[in-house]
Amino acid sequence: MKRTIPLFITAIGGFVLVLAVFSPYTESWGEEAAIWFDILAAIAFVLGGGNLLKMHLKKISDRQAGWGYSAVTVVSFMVMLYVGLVKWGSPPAANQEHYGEVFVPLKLDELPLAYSAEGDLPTPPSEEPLPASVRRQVSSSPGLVRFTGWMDASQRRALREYHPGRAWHAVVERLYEQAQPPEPVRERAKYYADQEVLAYQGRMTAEARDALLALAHTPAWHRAVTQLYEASQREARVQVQAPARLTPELLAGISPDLAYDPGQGQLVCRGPMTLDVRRRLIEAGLPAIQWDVARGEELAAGLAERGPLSTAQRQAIEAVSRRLAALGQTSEAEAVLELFRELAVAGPLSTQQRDFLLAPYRASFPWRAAVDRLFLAVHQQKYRWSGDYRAEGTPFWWLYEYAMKPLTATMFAMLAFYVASAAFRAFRAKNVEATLLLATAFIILLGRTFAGQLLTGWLPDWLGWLRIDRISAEIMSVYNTAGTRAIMIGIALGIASTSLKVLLGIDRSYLGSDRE
Amino acid sequence: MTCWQGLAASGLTSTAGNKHACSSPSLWVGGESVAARRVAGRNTLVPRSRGAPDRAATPQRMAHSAAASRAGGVLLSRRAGGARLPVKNAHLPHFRCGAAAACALVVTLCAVRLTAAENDVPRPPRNLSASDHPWDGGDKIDLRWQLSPDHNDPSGGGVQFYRIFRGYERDGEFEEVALVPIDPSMHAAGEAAFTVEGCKRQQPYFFRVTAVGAGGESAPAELVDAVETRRQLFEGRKLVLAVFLIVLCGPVLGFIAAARRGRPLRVRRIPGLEAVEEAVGRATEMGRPCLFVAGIQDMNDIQTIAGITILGRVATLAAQNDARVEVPTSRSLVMTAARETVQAAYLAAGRPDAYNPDLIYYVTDDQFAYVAYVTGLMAREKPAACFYMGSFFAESLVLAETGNAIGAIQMAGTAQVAQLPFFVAACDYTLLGEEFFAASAYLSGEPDQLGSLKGQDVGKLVVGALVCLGCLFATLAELTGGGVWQTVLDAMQDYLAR
Repeated sequence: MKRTIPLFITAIGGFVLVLAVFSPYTESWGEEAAIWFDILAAIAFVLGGGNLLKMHLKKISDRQAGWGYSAVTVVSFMVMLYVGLVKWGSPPAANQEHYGEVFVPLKLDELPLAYSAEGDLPTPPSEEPLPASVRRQVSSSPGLVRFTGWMDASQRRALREYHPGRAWHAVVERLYEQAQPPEPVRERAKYYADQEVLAYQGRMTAEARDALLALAHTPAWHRAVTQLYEASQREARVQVQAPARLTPELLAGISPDLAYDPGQGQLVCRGPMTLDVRRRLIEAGLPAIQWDVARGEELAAGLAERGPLSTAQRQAIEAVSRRLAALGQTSEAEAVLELFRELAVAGPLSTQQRDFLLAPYRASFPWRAAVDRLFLAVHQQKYRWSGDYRAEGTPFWWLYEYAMKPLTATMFAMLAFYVASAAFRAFRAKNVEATLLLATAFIILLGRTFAGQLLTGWLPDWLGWLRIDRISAEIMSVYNTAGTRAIMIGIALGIASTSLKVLLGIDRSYLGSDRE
Repeated sequence: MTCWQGLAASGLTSTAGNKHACSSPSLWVGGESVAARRVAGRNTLVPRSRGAPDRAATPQRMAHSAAASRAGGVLLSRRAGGARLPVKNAHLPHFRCGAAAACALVVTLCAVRLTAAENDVPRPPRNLSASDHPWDGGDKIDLRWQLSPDHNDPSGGGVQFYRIFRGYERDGEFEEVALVPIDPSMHAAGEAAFTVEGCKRQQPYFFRVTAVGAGGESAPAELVDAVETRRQLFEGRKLVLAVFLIVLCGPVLGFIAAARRGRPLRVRRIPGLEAVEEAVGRATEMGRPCLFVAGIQDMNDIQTIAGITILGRVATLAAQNDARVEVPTSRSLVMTAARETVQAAYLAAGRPDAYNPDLIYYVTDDQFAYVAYVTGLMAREKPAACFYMGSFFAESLVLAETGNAIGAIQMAGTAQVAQLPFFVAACDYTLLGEEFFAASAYLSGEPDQLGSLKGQDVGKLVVGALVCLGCLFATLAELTGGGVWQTVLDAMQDYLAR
């Protein structure tokens, strides 16, 4: 029985995969089989990790020769496992965070917002399920289609694409019209069914809160809206020396939730900040200048004083100056950064030149940092672990980039030396065959380097077939290809035959024994 | 993208200009469309019999037609069913003076010019039919239609291409799915065919085809009944592959059956496999372990399975000789399978007590980390025999050269063609491709398995015959400058490439 079950699984799995190639009906079976293999492999991976730990811990425990290496292995394994699993230092994924929004949990079945339209849920011929983005929110009964929560434009599109019929499109449109937040909170109030959260963009006003509360009178809804209101009133302050051009009017123009407290020297934000507000706030604090060609010349002179400036770099300054002048008002920090990029491409810059050029950008840094601190202070983090564990700057990334990759590259680089030593041994002219091999290798080697062209490139056209690069190409494309194909045909037949034996259970030796 | 609306469904069409243009360049929507209503407001609409060809028009052309009509010129309508119909509101003016006559002449000439331009618009294709593409996965529909009567009309420039539209409802929205260029074979057949791909299974589809010429786009030929695709039991494109599979696997099964009936089978000597016993014996004599590397791929690779098969034989010999076999693996599943194999081998050899699972262990999935471990192990333990049986990549030479440096007897087998030269250069014995897969049968010596090797030979014979035929046809095609041999060769390539 111990052998029979694996044999049975192998045979079933194998024949399913073969059938999947020939029959469209069983196409998905092949995919299912592949998924099952992945699941098995994932379980086996845990098994492998456990085995690795066991082996090395035993070695350390027994103080066997080389136990120190085992200790290093175990420590490295644990460290990588930890930093990878907990995603240490990995920022949440930007597309999951919904910046500028606050949220509170609210179960889908507690959501009192259900809208319905007369019609039937169509069944697509290929029996596709409802789109994932609406699957939890759409339900139906004969003659009625219901949608729970608010429908956004992408959900509407997904529903329309679910079935091409116009009757269905009409149902979707009716649902879309109904399933919208009330006017004071439209475009701001949202419900994310997958995460089961009620969200609100920006700071909620009392009017907006009342409009939301008026939608339903269940305790869960009341609690959620009240909590959302409170969350959106959160205020954060950061210490910053405000730029001179930052006026209350300018701040109010960016967002009514922004303020500057001159007494405390603090920048204040009430409610969450969107990415757009953050960008505009940063831009508002940076000094804007009208760039002109004279300023470019002045800069070039300053750079020339601090180090050599090539013609290409001077031309780059002129080109960028003309471009910036055409733009009108621009931020000085951004302008010098653009100039720096162009100059760095055009030629090297000394440290003094860099310091001189980037001084305005450096001066803008405290303001940028302050705005970013404020942005983070008012942001309500939604999915802490949504980021990529390999994100740049994380410990995992650092270990991979600066330990794993160099070590791997070192091992790979050793291959060159092994090739040389193997070639030295293989190409000794011990007999006729070995001599032929040596001669062929010599021609190929010369043909693949400049030496071949150098030695025989002078030959006239009528003797062109004697050029080493041509002989080399001929050997590779005719003799080598013929030999390789012969081997490949043999391999293909061998694979077919072996697979057949395995599927039919004729060869069971891979299971440990060919006898039951 | 343009879509035609079902004018036939609405039963209305214009006689003045008789062309409907939609302001939207993306979709043309049916009898209730804005464009149709706009035309209806300006011109007399008369019912059009179903199937009567309609014409595409541009807004400019309609404006010109209306201007000509207002000026009192003669306006000849489009060709409808081959006859020219007078426009209902048009009339021949009665001229009372020379100036009026001159004006009328100019207007008439303009009208004639406009009519000529209209005649550049090809007439629509006819008899559009559609059917489910046979022997497919249910995602293709075959369309066939008779060419436009103006397909090859030299005076009007003919048809430049045909445009295919697909819709889900007869009077619903249609989207363009393909442009079919003019093919010389169309002229001969008098009809055109096209296979629309990317259809959803069992979804009813409607199609329309228009002819596009220098003067514009014709009215569409419509499909009256919807057509839907069905998933077939067998993928027709794979027929050649299925035939090959039967041709290659049939003899394998046949020879296995023959071997079971007691037919004697002779297999040529494979030195690499015969040396396995020698290698294990050497390790026993030297008191050193054997190292077995089953490649760096997982159990879903047939090479790994073949490698594990050979491991069974090596483990049996090791159990009999009381030698030690160490198997570091780069995949967890391979570790599990290798343990089972070795345990069973020790059991079969009557030495279950000598089996040590700790000698078969997982190292890492990473290619070069694995190589670093194995080469380190080789340098420290100095195994007397090294076996590399499985799927290898760049690590092949690193392993084989390290084995060579420590003086181990080395045997390798792989189906990775690029790695074979490295193994040949650095190992004592190398199993080249098919020899590697023949190892299991060779080592077991069982008639069942030897029969499969004989079956493989038949496969080689078939492939060899095809290669010879291909060479012959290619040579004849070269000598005769193409002709029938080239056709045969192309057909052969076409079938074999499927």
